[in-house]
Amino acid sequence: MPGRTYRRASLSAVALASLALSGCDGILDVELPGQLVDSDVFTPDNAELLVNSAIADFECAYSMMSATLTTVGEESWAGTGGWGTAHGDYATLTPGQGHCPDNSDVDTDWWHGYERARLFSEAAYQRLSEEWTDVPNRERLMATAAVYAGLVYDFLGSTFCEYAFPEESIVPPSDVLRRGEAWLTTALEVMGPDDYAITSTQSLKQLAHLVRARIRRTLGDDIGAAEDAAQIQPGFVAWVTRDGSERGRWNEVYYTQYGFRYRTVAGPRWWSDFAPDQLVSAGMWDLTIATDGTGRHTVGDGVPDVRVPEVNTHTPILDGFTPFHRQEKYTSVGDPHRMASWQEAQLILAEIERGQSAVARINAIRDVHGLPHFASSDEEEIFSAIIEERRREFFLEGARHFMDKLRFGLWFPRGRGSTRVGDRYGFAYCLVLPATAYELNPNVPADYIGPDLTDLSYTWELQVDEKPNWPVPASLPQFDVMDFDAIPWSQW
Amino acid sequence: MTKRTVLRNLAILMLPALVEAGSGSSLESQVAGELATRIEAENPLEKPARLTVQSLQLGAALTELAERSGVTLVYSPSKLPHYEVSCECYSVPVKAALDNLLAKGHLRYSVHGPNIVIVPRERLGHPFGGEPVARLAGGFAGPGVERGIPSSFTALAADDSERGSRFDVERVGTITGRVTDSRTAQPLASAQVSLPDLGLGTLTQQNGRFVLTNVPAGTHNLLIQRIGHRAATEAVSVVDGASVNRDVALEEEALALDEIIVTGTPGGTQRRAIGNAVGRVEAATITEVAPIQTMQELLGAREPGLNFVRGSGIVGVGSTIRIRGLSSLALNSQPLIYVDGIRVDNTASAGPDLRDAAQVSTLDDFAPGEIESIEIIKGPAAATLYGTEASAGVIQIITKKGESGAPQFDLGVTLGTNWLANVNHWVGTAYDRSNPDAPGLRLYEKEKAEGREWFQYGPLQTYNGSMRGGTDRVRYFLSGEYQDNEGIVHYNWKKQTNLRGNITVLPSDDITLDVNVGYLEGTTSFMQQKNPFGIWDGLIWANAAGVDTRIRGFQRARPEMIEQLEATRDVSRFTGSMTLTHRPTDWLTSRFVVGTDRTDEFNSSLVPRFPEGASTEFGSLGLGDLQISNPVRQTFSIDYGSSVNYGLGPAVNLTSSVGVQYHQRSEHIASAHGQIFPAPQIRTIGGATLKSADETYVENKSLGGYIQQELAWYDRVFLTAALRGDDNSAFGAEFDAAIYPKFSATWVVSDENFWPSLAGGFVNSLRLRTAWGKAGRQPDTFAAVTLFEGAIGPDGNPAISTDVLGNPDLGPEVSTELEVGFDAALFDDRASLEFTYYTQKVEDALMPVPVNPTTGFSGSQSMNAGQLSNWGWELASNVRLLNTDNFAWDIGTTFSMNDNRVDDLGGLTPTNNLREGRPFPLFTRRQVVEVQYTTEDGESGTWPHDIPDPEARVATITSALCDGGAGFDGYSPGGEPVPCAIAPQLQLGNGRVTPKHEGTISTTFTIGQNLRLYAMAEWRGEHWASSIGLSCRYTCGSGRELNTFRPAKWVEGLVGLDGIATGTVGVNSPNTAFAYLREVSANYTVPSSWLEGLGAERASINVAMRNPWLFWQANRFIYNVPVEPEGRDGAGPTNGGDALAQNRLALPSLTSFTVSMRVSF
Repeated sequence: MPGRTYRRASLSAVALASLALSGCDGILDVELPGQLVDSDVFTPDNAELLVNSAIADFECAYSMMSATLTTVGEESWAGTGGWGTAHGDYATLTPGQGHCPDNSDVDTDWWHGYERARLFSEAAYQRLSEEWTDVPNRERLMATAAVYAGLVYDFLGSTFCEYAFPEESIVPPSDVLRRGEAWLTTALEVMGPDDYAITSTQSLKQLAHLVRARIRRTLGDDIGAAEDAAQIQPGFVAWVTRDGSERGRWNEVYYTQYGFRYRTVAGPRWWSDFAPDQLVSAGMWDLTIATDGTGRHTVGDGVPDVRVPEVNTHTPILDGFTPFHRQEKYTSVGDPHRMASWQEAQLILAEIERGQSAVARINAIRDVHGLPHFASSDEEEIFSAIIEERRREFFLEGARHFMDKLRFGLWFPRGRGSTRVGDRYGFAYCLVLPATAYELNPNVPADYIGPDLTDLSYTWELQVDEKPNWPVPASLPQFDVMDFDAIPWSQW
Repeated sequence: MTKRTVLRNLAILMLPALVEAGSGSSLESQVAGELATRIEAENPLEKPARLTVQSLQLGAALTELAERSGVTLVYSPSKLPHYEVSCECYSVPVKAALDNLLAKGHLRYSVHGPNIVIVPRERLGHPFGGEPVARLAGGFAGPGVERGIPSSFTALAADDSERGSRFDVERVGTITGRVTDSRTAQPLASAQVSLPDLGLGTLTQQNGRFVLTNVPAGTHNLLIQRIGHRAATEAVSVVDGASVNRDVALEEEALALDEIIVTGTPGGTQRRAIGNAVGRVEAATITEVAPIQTMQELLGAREPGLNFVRGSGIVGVGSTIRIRGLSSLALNSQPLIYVDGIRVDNTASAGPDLRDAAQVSTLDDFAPGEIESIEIIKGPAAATLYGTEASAGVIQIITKKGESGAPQFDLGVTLGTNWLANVNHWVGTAYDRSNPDAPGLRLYEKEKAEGREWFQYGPLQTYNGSMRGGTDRVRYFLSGEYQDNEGIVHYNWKKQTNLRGNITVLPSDDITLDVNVGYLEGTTSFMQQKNPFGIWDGLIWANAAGVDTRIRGFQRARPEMIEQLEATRDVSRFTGSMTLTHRPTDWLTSRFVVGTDRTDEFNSSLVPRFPEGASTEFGSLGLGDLQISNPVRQTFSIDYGSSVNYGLGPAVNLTSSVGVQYHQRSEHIASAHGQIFPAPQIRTIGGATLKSADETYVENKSLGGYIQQELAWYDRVFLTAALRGDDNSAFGAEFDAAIYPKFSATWVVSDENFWPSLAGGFVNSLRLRTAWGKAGRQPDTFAAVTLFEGAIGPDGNPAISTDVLGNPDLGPEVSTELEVGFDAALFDDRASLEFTYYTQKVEDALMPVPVNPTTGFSGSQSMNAGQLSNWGWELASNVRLLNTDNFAWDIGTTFSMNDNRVDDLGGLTPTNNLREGRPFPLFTRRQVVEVQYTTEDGESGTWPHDIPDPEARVATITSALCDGGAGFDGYSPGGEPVPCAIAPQLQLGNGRVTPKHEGTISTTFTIGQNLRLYAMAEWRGEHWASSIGLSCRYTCGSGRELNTFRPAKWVEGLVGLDGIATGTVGVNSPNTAFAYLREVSANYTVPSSWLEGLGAERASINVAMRNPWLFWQANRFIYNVPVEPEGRDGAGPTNGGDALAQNRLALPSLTSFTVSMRVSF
């Protein structure tokens, strides 16, 4: 019976096909033993894991930032060509695949770590406060998540020209910092009279106070800043932990110098077609403090500043030309970074109090390091000394000098120039979000291209009104914008 | 049936072959001899019957008689009448018993040697039991169908004896002979040889031989037919009691319209019914004459539209495959590969990391010697039934199968050598940039003169053997091959053993079981290609200023240090499939295929610890560095399908097919990295000071089904419609099944009655065809799912981090293709022409859209957003220019064009390599139009109009103008000049880094019956190189001609070189079109007379060369630096998994010379 058999065969096949296309979802389930999906991640059992993850990503980003932004803050000078030379043009950076744990493309993607830390810390806090009420150590976890969220906003707000959070429009740095202040306030409220010790600090509460003081000072709330800073006890320190386990856990400042001879901490003194002693960059030149305590431009008899240890290797960095002055502050990939300390609290207070009170706080810090005292009655000189003291105290720590330059409107080579070996560098100032952060945000107008750093009247929103007489070395070209005509065009 | 009877009948079935092959192997000779002895010794009719039966069916009684008497009775059970017999015949002879048993049945018997043949007294109605003869392919069942062999005919042929017996046994003779291909002189198996007027017929054995017994004396027409060949008829005079020999050479049909093609449906489809072009590579034929060592060499340049993007000349390194160009922006364009019906691993980047070199193609794991044929299904219109993943095309590999007949042994040995021709040309001369007056350094020659020859003539040897044979019920093919192939350095070699066993079993007339098993094991040791450790880049980037240093002028490391590094791949691979075909009636075919392919690799890259430690050229790696990985890739396939064939009157025939497929593949990679060995003796991860490990696992599953309806009208017009649905584990949760439709139509115009008068004999066959269809390409395995990955937190605490932001709406890329074309045979099949035009539209193209980085996720997210176009045409022709008895001249040509365009980037930001309205990946450069310069002598000039002294050394470029851009988006040349520093990068040439035009021409001279001369040349048209490597030969190290001498005639190159405007035409952007003489060979078939006494059936000797002559390049040099035309490495930006850059660091193609001998027993 061909007809009957045919019908049977067809029906069977159609049934099989239908089964294949509709009902057999399970047959397409696949194993994924190496990764987690959403539903596996955000569970109460993972509360501690999420907070640890926020810390891990924050620490990775901090270490990368400390290595990378030192060039923009002129704590170091890069010599590899490409974007990293001297002054990166951040507006051209686009997010790549890499992030801290992947070890790839670490230079351009360091700040992704902050965003991931923000994602984990805020998600953990939100669930702990609203849903996961039975989780052990809930208050500690909430406080920790809130402190690290505050830290993220602090660093984003202290470096970027503006920000565009998902599902929001563009916000200025002050808005970013206020979010950080709010998170730190939340953390302190969660802790109440309690305090918690976590791996990176013995006092989560003091860390919260100090970071809030830092933010409040930037926002101009000197009273609030002073109150917070006064909470910090001598000897307090908080760390970004590092170890040698994998690239994302390495001390990047150490690695970029020891591993690759990637950066020198002393700015080059010569430049093709310029006078031999002319500096291209301020850099960390003359890293000693003279007996007169001025601490600048001295050679010979100065006292070595133990806070800025370096050695002249008498070899060039990777470009083959620039002398390699190697930092000695970190001596292994496992050395931790300091991210907050009593010294910072003292210098915040010094900024606010000024006068001999500031001198006393400077000298109290110098006493810790066994350095000669600073003395001056000149207010401008004292103010400048505070900036210089911060530069040295926070040497290669979290790009603090870059942030100070933004706050105080210090010298940036806001032009385009070439290094001695012909690598060009671009406009440098506050950081501009990658174009995709604007383009992929529906709340940002389509034709918005971000802040125009070529506009020389542009200033960072939170630049303080008073500008210290912080000296730019005389040997530096004295212009706000590089004189294009002064550079042979073939070097462009 | 008793065991004894079975054995006896088996002997009967094999008898003709054994008798025919009497001059073959010693075993066959022995068997045939014994039979002859028996024939002479006794008449079976005279043997005692020893039979006593009561009321037994005739068939059973005859079986009993055979059992008891020991004689062989030959009859067709189906022809026996049904009646019961009784016989008290214990003491009578067999003759008397037969007279008794057969008295009522109108049966008669006759003696044929030791056998007694029982046949009906009346004549049979049809020579082959009622089966049609004229059209072989339609409606035949059995295991041979997929290869176009009507196996049911074989079964009928077993009944020859009953037909022969109708004639008087005292007045018959025998016809023997051999059927061969007229062009290749190869024996043709399964050709049907018949005497239509007498109803006698048989099939040729695998050695091409046939025997027709009991042919009545007289003159008869002998008809020889085989699918794919033109039928031949010869008059044969048979003399009473004698044997006459007739060897017949069949000519190939220009269009093999009745050839069976593997289309995805059970049983395959006749070519005449398929509306799209399907390429077919007759592997078994090609390997006979061409110097073939790898699958790439087997397939390369054979089929228009199939392109191999060559990696390098390193032995063991493979190439990526492209069918009809690139048709995806983000996904791999590697076609699917099937072996005997199951999907296998198609990875083209296996093996260890060779530092920017191309890697191993797993296609090359298979041995060409075990392949019967390969079919190439080129585009979505053809690949619809293969569903998601198939839009890049499908390659169907069909391995050799057994043939019924006596065992045939084939042994082959190939010996030869590989070398790099014109080393000095490729290496060139290096100059000292800081000392331009110093003589140039020809490093290779210098080393050689000092007694250091770094390159060798690498020995090449391949040994293979196979055995095939069987009966109508069981057929087998067993083969083994060992290959040992060395490259131009002693540490680059590949040693591999391939084993294959294919068995076909027909447990009944309606069931066929094919079991195909392949296993290979091999080790490849690679030379690394690129810095810091490759010897090749060390030569071509020679440092003239460093001649007196430790590295003697090599780029980074001395060759004697490099050769101590190791990069190896150990592989074992099992590919097994089982196909069960059930054909209960002549109108229903069902097929079930199940199989798996498992590849185990162990890859290792070792820098041993040197006694000098970090002070070697390798820096800290000199302390020891070992990376190992153990990828295990596995596929599993199940395929079930049914086809029903039924007629609606004489004009219309319908074929309905349905099927379901399930595919699963996985890749599990365990890897480890060890650094710093305490001592040189330690070479394992365990002994390293620093250790790290990683493990990844990726899995993908797909499930789909199809339904297809084919309508045939008078077997010359065919309409086909199909629908396929797929679901895949890579699709997003919000995406339903993908549905792919397909339609095709084909019309064999030349079968129409009006055609002969219309075509006037000029075009003897013509088929028009068109096809439209869709196929898909799935996203990356987990692109639809948001993923997090493990990390290390403070104090070693566990942590996670974000990995991929998934897209739950993700679906497949869908390619839609329209294809039209024709196949024509001209001048009485002396020439053939196949032309196809295709146009593809890729919708929902997967685009890597960047993720808003402020979400906490980075990288990109796959989205179905873009639209692409891809189109082209393909032409293939074969012409027999001369054809005489002793000389034939054939010419074959292929040409193809492929172009593409980005229609919509789906919101992706355009780049210089990717722009809407342009080809992809787009190749752009600033195009210099005018350069003003001053020389060291203070002279001024303007390139290209006013160059006072072309050889004068340029000191300074004072201005450089480039094309400012024109066209709809400003990316076409022809705009107003602007300073190069601000000029846009414009599309260069056709804008493609892959050839837009390709072609081959091959020619074969057949001289006499034994000698064939063959040559094939390949041409690849305009395509451009983005070559960091080439550029570096000016800018890196000590520098080359341009950088050293800076002549005014080449000043446009200095625009980019001096950093005035990077990305300018000149230094590193050559058009790399080329033409290569790929293969030449001389093949001599040893005359049969020479083999007499050796026991061999056939022998041939082949002398061949591969890549003997790169006879044309669009740019042989760019500013005195040689341009390597076809290699690429992995250093460039990627597109769909391919490196776009053709870096010119690739080791050029090696030349090889081989001598092969093949013997068949």
